[in-house]
Amino acid sequence: MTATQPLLEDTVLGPKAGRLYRRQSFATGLGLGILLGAIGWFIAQNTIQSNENFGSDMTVAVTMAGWVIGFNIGIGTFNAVIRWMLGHDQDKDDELYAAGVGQGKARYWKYCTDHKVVGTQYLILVFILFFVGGTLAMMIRTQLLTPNSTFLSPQTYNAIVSIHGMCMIIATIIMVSGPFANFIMPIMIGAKDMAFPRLNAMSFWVVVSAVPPLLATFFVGGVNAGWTTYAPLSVQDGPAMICFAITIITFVVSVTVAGINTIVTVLTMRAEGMTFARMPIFVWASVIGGGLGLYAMPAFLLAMTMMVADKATGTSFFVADQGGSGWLWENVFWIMGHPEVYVILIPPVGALLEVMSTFSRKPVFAYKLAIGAMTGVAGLSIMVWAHHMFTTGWAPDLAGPFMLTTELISIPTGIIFLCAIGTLWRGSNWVRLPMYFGFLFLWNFIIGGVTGIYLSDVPADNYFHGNMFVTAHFHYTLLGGAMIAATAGLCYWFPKVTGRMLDEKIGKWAFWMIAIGFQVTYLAQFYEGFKGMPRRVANYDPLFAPENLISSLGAFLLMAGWVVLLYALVSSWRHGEIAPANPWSAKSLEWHTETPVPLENFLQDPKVINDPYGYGASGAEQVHAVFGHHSHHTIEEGVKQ
Amino acid sequence: MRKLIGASGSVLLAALVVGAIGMGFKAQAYESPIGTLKATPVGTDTTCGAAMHHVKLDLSTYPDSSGVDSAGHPVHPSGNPDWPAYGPSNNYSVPTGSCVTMTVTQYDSGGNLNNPYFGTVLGTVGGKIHVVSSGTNISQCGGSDAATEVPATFNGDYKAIPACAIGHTFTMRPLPGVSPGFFLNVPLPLAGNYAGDNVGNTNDFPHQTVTFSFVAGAKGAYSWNCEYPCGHGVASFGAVMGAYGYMSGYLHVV
Amino acid sequence: MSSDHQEVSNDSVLDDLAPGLDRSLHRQYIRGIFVLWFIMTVLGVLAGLYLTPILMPHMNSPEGRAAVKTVIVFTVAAAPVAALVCAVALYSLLHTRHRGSLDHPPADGPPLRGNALASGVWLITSTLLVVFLLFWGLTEWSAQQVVHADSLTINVIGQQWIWDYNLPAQTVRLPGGRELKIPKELALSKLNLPVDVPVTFNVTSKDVTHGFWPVNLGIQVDANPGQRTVIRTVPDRLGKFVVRCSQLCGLNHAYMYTQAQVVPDQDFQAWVQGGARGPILAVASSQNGSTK
Repeated sequence: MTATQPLLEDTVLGPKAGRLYRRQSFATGLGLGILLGAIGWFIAQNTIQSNENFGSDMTVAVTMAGWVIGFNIGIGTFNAVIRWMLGHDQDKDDELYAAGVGQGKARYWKYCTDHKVVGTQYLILVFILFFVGGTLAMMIRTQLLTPNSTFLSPQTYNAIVSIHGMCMIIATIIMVSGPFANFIMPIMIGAKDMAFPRLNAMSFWVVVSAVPPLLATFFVGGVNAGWTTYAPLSVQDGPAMICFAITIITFVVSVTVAGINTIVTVLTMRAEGMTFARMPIFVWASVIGGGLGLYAMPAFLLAMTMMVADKATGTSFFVADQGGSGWLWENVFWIMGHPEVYVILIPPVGALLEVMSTFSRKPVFAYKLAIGAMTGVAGLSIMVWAHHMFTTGWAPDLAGPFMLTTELISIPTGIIFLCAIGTLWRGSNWVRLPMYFGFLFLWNFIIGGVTGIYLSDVPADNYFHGNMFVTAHFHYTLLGGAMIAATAGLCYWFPKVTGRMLDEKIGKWAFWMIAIGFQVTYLAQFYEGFKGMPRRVANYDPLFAPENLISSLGAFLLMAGWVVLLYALVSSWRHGEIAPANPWSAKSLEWHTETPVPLENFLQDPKVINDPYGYGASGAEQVHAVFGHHSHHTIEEGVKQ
Repeated sequence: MRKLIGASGSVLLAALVVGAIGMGFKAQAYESPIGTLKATPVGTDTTCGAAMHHVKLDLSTYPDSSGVDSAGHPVHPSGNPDWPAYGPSNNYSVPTGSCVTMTVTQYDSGGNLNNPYFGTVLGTVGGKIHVVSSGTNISQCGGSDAATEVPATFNGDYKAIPACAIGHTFTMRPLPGVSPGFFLNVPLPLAGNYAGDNVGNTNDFPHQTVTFSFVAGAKGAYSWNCEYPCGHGVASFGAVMGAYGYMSGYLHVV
Repeated sequence: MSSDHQEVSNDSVLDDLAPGLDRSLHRQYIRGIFVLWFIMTVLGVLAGLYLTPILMPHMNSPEGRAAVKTVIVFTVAAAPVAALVCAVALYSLLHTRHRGSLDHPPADGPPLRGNALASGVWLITSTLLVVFLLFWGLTEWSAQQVVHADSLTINVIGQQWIWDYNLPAQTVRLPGGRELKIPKELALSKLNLPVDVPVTFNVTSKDVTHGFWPVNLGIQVDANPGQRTVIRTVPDRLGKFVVRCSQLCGLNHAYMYTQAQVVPDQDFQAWVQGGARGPILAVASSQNGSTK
């Protein structure tokens, strides 16, 4: 790897007046999105034959597509492409402008190509999505406080259950691959930016444009069919299902672009000496997670496209009495759905191993085995989808093979545990806030993992399928596992991202509320599942009343814990103690550049000589990288001149 | 201390925001302008076998939710005008342990049930319903059901209605876990002809008057809905059938 | 990796795991983790053995009891592994935690970059466990695939939002030469099942996908429109239970349930002959599936 030539030298900065696209921002995106949406609605209303079935579905489809396209034109997603079509490239000034130079905080509202800005934008978006999803969870738990509650109508309840699910799925898919794979990962490998900075900005703003259709579902009748939107129920559903499908299709575009970008960045942008075997484990996790996303997510796009066709144009992919099959939907959905949980899980696990290593002051135990384990999980995960379908009646003879592949996953997953406890073993355990969440991850994920093997067993699944046990299980793995590991990563990288130290006192209050609230909520739900309470019900047998009450109270505590954590994050971000460049004395590259991180990340090019886990080593072996064999003008120096 | 105030303040603020959103969601549940319809007491009699407190509920099913009923009440304001609806409300309240006599005036056309099962009267006193037609407006069942015998007018007690001559049903489930629960299924014969015209919301139009009684069980909110496929899409159970408040609601036993 | 810490060179496993550690301290580590591991393993095994039957309901069929037994066996099998993870984590919190000021990082730990033996043992153990899980699952599963020559056929129809049942006219030969006669087709809204009589459920749906889940029979299958799916069992214990819908099916999914009961076969015969009228039969309520 040779260091790339400095992109920008001695440039006079600042926006040039008069260029249309320099006036683009979130506001113009919003405006154009609403305008195109409205135009789409008007045209559809007045041209499409108003068939009771399909008219409103088609109208909503055109309106939502108008919004998504309009927003992305307005924010500037297509600027470069349009300019190429007009026959000229962006010049250096334009590149600088796009990187947000000299625009202060306004750049966070723009189509900004700086990976650190994109990472921060993602972080804010993830907070917003989590609090939308969390609020919806509170609605669910309020409804379920008592057995015969009429707080929400069944229609509203189903709408909330569906959007809670999808909102959280979107949020967890991007919670690490958005903020940290964008902000931290390129610095970790010594890159100046991502390989495709414009696509990077695109991946973010495309997700943003996917959010309003998701929330719009509440205003057009709500999605009735859960986040899995099983056909033909979803085909029967109202136009909200169209909004939902548009959200997914848009979101898949973003995940695909982001995945390609991550992989190409790691393949081509590494600093001198950054061999694959010297890459931090989190970089590997990002690549594996991103690659798995490239496999999984297109199936979702395909499924949702067929869904829109069934609803808005009268095809019948999933409608049995017209030759379709609900099992087709279930297959295509879970071919996406099971790899997808590992798209969520693997990057946080990488972050977790970084945290474990830094705070144990020890190398990641069995580094290569950990990479192999993550790869193994990813590889096996594409062959397990039908374990979601054991009880559907589809292909009963495949129960055995899918039981095999599913249970095989526990081998590489076990290795990840081995790497975690091997890293802890004999470490000088420095229990700062990120480590609190690290320990919580181990506890939660053990429970999530063990309950997973019950569900992999066909005879046991014939009892547990579709019941609250499953709900508790995947919340233990995705919330208690992935999201807690991501929170460990957030507390770990917070000083680098924000330039300030996180208030650990408030953080620890939040930790205990989250830890206790979580156990109460979901252990109670395991009990409901053992007793036989079905999932996704707006009302339940009084038989399940005590544990539902306990679960709801636990959920309120859990939510309060997240709010306190948010308070800690926001207050520390605004006026926390200024963070040193390397508060944890960690070795990977992101801690060896200035805080705040300059544009193009390094004032002096790093040259990597060892892996970043030289704890306890002597001499040169404890050094990850040396700086300064190449020096160049930086943007900041340019500004000063 | 400042941190404690800040943290608890944010929790409080979040609780307020979440609470406000919750109120918004709660308000999404349809409630008719007259609110919950309370049953009218008619004294104590032996309609349900033994002597017990007797109450009456008068309901109608309308083909057109945008109209007004004979008393001038809007059927289902601000809703989808093309959808049928129960009126004047979808929420009813009856005292526990009382004998409830419901009269449903059925103004809508109809056709075939998805499942003939719902043509059977279940759970009413005597397992029967009393039907009076406003005129001879029932045509034969069409197509493959042509052989099914449908009376020219309904007049008298019925234990079942032919599955091809249903307008709507009033189907109510027992409370989960409460035993003995009461399950109620009342098929309402169609009014008007099959073309779907000649139906309307007032007594000028053909209608069926269906009367039945049942004993209200344990306290709680009993969910009822219509099992005639009067919506669109898959199994004609989309649209109105998936929208709470038109053809679904609660019977509150208090 | 060579380092200052790697002074002792010994091929014992323990030395590999803890190079350069004072031998007595090193034994103390192992002993501490072993004690924690042992206690937690015992707790896990006890929880699996004694808690599971309390948490899960009384089951009315071999399939249901197989589910309970699987939970017990898997909990016991997983307990040592889960306990080891917890023991190492807990030990590192209790014993090797850095005390004193947390403002600065403690001294580095030993540069342990892996251990072939530990990894190998872990890998082999987990593989053996998986083989056991698979063996267990396949054995149980194939035991449930037995098709009885003579069984009571019940057609189950799922629709939004109710289950109803259709009992076709049939004669089922019972062991001991007796016969169960269904003289004419019956439509049912509640489910009564004769005890010890093999039953075959033919499940379908009128509209969308539902999940037919007779809870305490430990079996379930989706009701798919345009398809007929089949599940079988032999209810072998008397008692009441509930049939629920395990697949979100729209507005009133929560209300889609049926009360069901396993009754003596003579009672069932009498009920059928009486046209299956009246409510569910009265059977000793001590067998109530919802409690024990």
